[in-house]
Amino acid sequence: MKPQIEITQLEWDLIERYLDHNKASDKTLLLNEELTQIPNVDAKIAHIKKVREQIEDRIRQSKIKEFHEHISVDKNDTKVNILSPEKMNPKLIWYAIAVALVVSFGVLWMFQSRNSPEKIFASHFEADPGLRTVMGASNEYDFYEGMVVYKRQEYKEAINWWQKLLPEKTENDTLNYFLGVAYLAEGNAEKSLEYLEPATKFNDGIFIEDAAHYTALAKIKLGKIEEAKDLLNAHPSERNNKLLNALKE
Amino acid sequence: MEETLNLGQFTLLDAFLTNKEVAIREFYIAQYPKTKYYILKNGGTLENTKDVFQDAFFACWKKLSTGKFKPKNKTEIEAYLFTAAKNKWIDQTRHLTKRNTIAIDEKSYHLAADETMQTSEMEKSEEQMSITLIAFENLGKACKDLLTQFYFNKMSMKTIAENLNIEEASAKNKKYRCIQKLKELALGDDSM
Repeated sequence: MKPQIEITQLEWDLIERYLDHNKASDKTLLLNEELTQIPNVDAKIAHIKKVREQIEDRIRQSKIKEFHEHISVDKNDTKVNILSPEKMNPKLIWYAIAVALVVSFGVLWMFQSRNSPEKIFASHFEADPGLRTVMGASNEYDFYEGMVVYKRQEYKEAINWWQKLLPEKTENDTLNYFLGVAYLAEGNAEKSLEYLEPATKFNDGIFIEDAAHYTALAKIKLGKIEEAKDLLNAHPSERNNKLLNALKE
Repeated sequence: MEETLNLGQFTLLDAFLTNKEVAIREFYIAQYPKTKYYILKNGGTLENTKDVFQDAFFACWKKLSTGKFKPKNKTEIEAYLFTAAKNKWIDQTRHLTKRNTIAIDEKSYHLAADETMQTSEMEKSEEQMSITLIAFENLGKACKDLLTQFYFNKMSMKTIAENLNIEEASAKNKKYRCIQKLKELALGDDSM
């Protein structure tokens, strides 16, 4: 089957600009005028809309597959054991119900509570935007290669690049900081702390408050709320104060 | 107001609308056990759970991003996701049971109906092209990255070009070529 519609790159760019632009902007008229020059424009717009939607869908599906890699699979965890009531002692049933109720309320409280650690982490974690990737010095090539993939949110790959540099630069604050953030973005809070702690690693450097911020987030993810509070108290900054207030609420 | 964030949306909805990967992934990990428990309890396997949950999660994400589902809070998203997964599993098990007990006559009747439908669908789809996940996965890393940055991370072509250390015009050209390649791969899939 051959593609039904041939769209040139110029047409493609123009139509995408039209689809993405702010309808209230002054450029609307100009864009509309340019569009009228494209033959069969309505069909082309419809085609591009559809392709864009499908690309977004496939990316979402691909991301979902990646998310699943973060689920730990226990091979023995394939059966759900349900105790049959007739085999149970009636007293035990009541105990079981009581325990289940207590646990359910606990879990419910944890998740419904306005500021559960899970919610605080999810709403405050935003990966550091990264450094500008200008590849100058050849000895920093690996670091910037890592930075390029880090900016694409490919944290695993960034970690691979940066891990190679670590044996020679164990104390480098930039390397430790970005490794810590990348591991945290990957959902591995314990590993991120290996690079973000102790805070003295970042003393007198530009990362001290930011490192404290991500260390606190890692601790929140691990449920160590008091430690996170202490850290944020010791390293005030606008977003650290905001995070601290969220923990106090 | 619960989880107030920019534009008055709550955090999770904002994450789905702007494709904030980390927050969406955390939600995926947190919600998976509930569906797993339900499907394992109702005769499914871990593989079934994964497939059903991923389908439901995709459906939920799509509904949210297109604005067809406007939840008021996180609980509504959780409920939607679980119900979608549950219904998919019920459908799947019903379908399997039905298929096992279907009578031969009935079977041939359905086959005939399916064939008619297939022909008209094929006629209709002559002008259509469907980009499959396989086509996207086979695209090659450089193209996948570029399209993901533009269509998923909503980065500007200027920023993408800066990250790649190339001119904006070259980045646009690369993007166009990647889309053409993807369409070719998709058409290859269609003809299979």
